[in-house]
Amino acid sequence: MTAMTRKQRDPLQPLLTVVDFIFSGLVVVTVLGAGLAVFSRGVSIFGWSRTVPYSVCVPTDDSNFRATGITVEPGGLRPGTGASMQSASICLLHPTTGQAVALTIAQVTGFVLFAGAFYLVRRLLRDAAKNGLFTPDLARWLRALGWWLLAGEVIATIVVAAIRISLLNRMVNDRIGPGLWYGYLHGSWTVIFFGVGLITAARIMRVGSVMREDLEGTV
Amino acid sequence: MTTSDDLGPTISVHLDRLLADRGMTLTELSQLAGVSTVNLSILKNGRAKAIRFTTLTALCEVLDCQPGDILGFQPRPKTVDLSDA
Repeated sequence: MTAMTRKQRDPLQPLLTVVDFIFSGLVVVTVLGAGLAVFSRGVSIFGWSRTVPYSVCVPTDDSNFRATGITVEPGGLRPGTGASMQSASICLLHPTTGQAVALTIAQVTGFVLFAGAFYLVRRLLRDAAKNGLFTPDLARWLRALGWWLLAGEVIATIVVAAIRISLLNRMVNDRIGPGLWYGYLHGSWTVIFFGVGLITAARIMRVGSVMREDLEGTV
Repeated sequence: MTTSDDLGPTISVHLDRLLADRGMTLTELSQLAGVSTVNLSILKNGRAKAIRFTTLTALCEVLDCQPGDILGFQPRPKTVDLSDA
């Protein structure tokens, strides 16, 4: 069977199916998590639960914390701070609302980036299914997704690092100076690379959309 | 009919005149030349951006004419640059 006689497959179908499935799962998990956080004890979503604010914790078993060179010792922690060996973290035992909100922002940033990207991919695919491939609109959606990932990842990395360092500086006696911030500034190079790639793909798509318009006007 | 771009009309299509001269309809031309009526309509109404050599050849064969009989060139009106004055 030659390529010409083969039935043409929907080029959007594989990704559309996966994105629909994951987006539906994301919505269900978020709604269930929020429901459990409101009605059950011991369950939290983005640092919030029925018993909030219970404690604000920063993990100490990751490379970011190790890069600061701070050792968690009883004498190294400020009053009102506890160390949990079980979860390898240090916590503000009686955080202020501002500190709890700060931790929530740090936790929700990655989720917003992820959910936003999925939303944009879904809109992009729906637009492509409705209006066709190689359209200026599709190029715009691709560019929006690329910038969302690129700028979002950079901003999220800075925001999360600033919040964690700010919280850590309230927990430990040794101050984390600007020289050690780099340890917390490690975004995903894959996401940044993907964002740049999508912005490039959007430019290619814009050229392609002009070519398609020309082709449609060719008799 | 003329095709136009951002700078105004330049190429005109005289398909309607050729059809009238030969007493032929667009549908008949479509059947004889093997070009769809949709494409012929786009060409006749000046909405075409380009024409394939194969289309032009088929039309010339059926209408027994030269490409220049189908297409015409209309120079753009000259503009005067007043910035140097």
